[in-house]
Amino acid sequence: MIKLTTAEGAIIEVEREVIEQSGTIRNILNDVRMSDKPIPLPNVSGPILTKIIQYCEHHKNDSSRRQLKQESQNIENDSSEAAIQRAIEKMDEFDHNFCRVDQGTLFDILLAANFLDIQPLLDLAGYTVANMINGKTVKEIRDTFHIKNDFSPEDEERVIKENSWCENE
Amino acid sequence: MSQSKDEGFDDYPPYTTVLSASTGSFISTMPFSALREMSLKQTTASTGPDKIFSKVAIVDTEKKAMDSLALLLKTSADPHACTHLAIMLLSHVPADMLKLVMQQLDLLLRRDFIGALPIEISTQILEYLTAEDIAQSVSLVNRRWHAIATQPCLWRRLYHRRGWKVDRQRWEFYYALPRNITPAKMLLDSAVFQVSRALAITANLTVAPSSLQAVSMAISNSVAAAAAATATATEVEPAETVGTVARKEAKIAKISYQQPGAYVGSLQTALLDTSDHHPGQVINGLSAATLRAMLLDGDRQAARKPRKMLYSLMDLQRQAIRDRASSLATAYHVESSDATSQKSFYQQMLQRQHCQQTQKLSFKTPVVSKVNLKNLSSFSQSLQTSRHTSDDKSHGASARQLKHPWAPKPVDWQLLYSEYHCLLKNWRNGQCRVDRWESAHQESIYTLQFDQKNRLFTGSRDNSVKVWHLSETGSQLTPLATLRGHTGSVLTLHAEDNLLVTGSSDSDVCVWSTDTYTVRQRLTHPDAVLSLRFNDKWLATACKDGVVRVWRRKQQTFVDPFELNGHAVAINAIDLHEDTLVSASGDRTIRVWDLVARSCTMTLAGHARGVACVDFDGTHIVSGSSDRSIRIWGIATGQCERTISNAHSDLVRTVMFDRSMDVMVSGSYDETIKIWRFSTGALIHKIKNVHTSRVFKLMFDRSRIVSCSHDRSISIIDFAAELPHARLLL
Repeated sequence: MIKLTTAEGAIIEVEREVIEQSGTIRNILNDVRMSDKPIPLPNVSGPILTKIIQYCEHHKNDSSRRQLKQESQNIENDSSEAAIQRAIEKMDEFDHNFCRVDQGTLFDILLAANFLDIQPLLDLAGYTVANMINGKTVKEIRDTFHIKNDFSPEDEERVIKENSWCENE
Repeated sequence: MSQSKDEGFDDYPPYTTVLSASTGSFISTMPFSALREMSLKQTTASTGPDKIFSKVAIVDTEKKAMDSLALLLKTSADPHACTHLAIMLLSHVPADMLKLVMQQLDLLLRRDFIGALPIEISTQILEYLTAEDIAQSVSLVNRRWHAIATQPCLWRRLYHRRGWKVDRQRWEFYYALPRNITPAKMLLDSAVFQVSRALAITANLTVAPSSLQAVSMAISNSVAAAAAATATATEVEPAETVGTVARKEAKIAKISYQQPGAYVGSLQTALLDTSDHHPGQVINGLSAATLRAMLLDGDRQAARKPRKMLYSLMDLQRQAIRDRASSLATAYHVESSDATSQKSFYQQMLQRQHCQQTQKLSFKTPVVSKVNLKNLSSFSQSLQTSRHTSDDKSHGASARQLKHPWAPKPVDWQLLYSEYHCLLKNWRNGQCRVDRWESAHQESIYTLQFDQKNRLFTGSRDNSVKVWHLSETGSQLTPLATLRGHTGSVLTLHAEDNLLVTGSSDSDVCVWSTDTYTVRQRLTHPDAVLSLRFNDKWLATACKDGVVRVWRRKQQTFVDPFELNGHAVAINAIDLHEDTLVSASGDRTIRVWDLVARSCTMTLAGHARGVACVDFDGTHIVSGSSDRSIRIWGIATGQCERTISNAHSDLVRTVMFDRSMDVMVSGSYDETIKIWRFSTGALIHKIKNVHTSRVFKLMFDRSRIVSCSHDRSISIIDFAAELPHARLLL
């Protein structure tokens, strides 16, 4: 078992096999060998860490995952539509339910997944956010994420003009 | 909240006037009904309730109370206590208002995912969206979102996701490099830049990390060795020594590239170690060695240049450094009042050279303190002098900006994406500019082809072949050469690399060199040659007598001819892909041949009349016929996959397709050119009025169609008329 210290200072125990899906933790474990000392995760709060461990528990038997990551890194340079499609297809029922959370939690998951280097989770959460943006008008996007428009009218006009190449035919 | 205050005031002047004038609490001044009315108004305006709160002018005493409460919540270590306090406060809020609070709470839970997350995550999120979404929605949300939506890395990935590739060589050639720059100047500028940058970084390093010491020591030793070797080499300069040194230096430079601080530090050490033995040579040799090492490592351009150039450049630099060293020495001797030892003199001199440059770079004072000299005032004076005596003005300018003088401009991925997007749109909409070159030949033009180097070859009934330059942007035609070698009409030609092969009704095939435009080889046939193609292994010709003749290619010549018999009558067109040949004949069939086995592997029948043209890309065959139809055949199945009946109102004389663009273009005796969608066979666009007579041949690339006709004209149909960068696409 591996001990992790959350941002609040609480200690959470987790199977090595489960948490090794995190590249960051895997590297730490490889570097320091086995040790009883808890690994401090000052960027990750208790509730978020619990959630992430849930995710890792569910996916601990996906042996292909690590391989998939390697693959996706190899083809990163010419990442095609198909590669993204493949990543999306890998997401299952659990994954979609996992992301049905409030924006604050999703935000923290993204940060934690990035810090812990869990690429499939980062993909999943990123894809979820992209879906929240997809197909929305500018105003709808601002409303969804509670964002203030700080463009001056001239700026706005310039940006619209700048992107006019993309207008529908 | 305070940010949106202004808007609130503008929206509801009556309330705010009342509120700001009031001295009591806002609750007592404002009836709940009014607030509720406001909230309704707000909700219908769908702005959210935050404005109501922001609009409320708060008096000082309340502000203090609120601040202290906020502080209490913020500093409280126990989240449970916080929650408890908040709930307790909420319990005092009137029931009507709780709904407003809830709405506010909902807003507090929202997150600005794109704006607030680290940029590598937000660009990753945006990658899941389409370019259209990013350009039209995401970039318009606010300034921060716009900044992220225009990140080059995002557009690079969007670009590659479409399977597009960019011709980097052409990008560098046309858009990235300044014009009128000589290779020598390029090398010199580059070397100066590298040294300057290394020094600039050193100047900013106040303390070298202890871990670098070992590296520094190692480098120092090898630099000393290299310097000594170079110093010797300046006298004798045997090629081997220099070569070895150069290799060593390249290695050092590689390490030093990552640890510039350590490197320059080691230079000083190395100098101290060796200056006792050959003071003058070491300075020259060392500086030259440094420059050369940087050159070798930093610039692949330099590697490509002839060695001789490099050597002459090194001589130049050595001379310059020698000059500077002597001027420095003079300056020092003039200003220095007390005698100094040889060793410290050189030490100071080197440091001064460094300082002189770092001073130019940053104008920061810490440099001086780092130098750790006893005689600071005389040092700074000589520094001034040496700065004035500096002969290299361009050096100072380029170093100050710390911009590589000829660094290739990075590819502007969004620009490329947008222009290529527009180019595809232009193809789909038939948005093009047509340029016609009347009377390009004296008689009708039967055939044409252009190549990667923008050379256009045309063959005519006037027995001549003309070579034109097709301008990169815009559609300008400049005649380059007229080739006369045939005594009959030039019916077919194919150019590749530096070979041009032409076939004529005089029954001859001529192989030309496009460097000298002379005939290298002449291959005779029993009858007119109607079509020919070659690649790196074969040359195949289609003859009016119904026989395909094939030669094996041996570099620039064609040898060992053999015949392929099968067609009943004349073969109108052939195409070649690796070892597979496709021939289309007046006997209404298309035959597929294996050139290695020298046998016919397939006969495709379906056209109701003779087949006039054919195009083949390895997997698909497209054919046009005098039955006015176009047929698409699959090579794997040997079946006709699609028939476009009545594609034209007369014989389909020429056809070409590109599956990656999903485009097929055909030209006909009905004087029109038609653009088709390859995958569906749907007509995209019909271009009329490009020619006033039969269209004989056309060829297209990603941005333009070039065609020729019986009317003696060449026409260029340009889809990238206003998209100069679209041509960079591979």
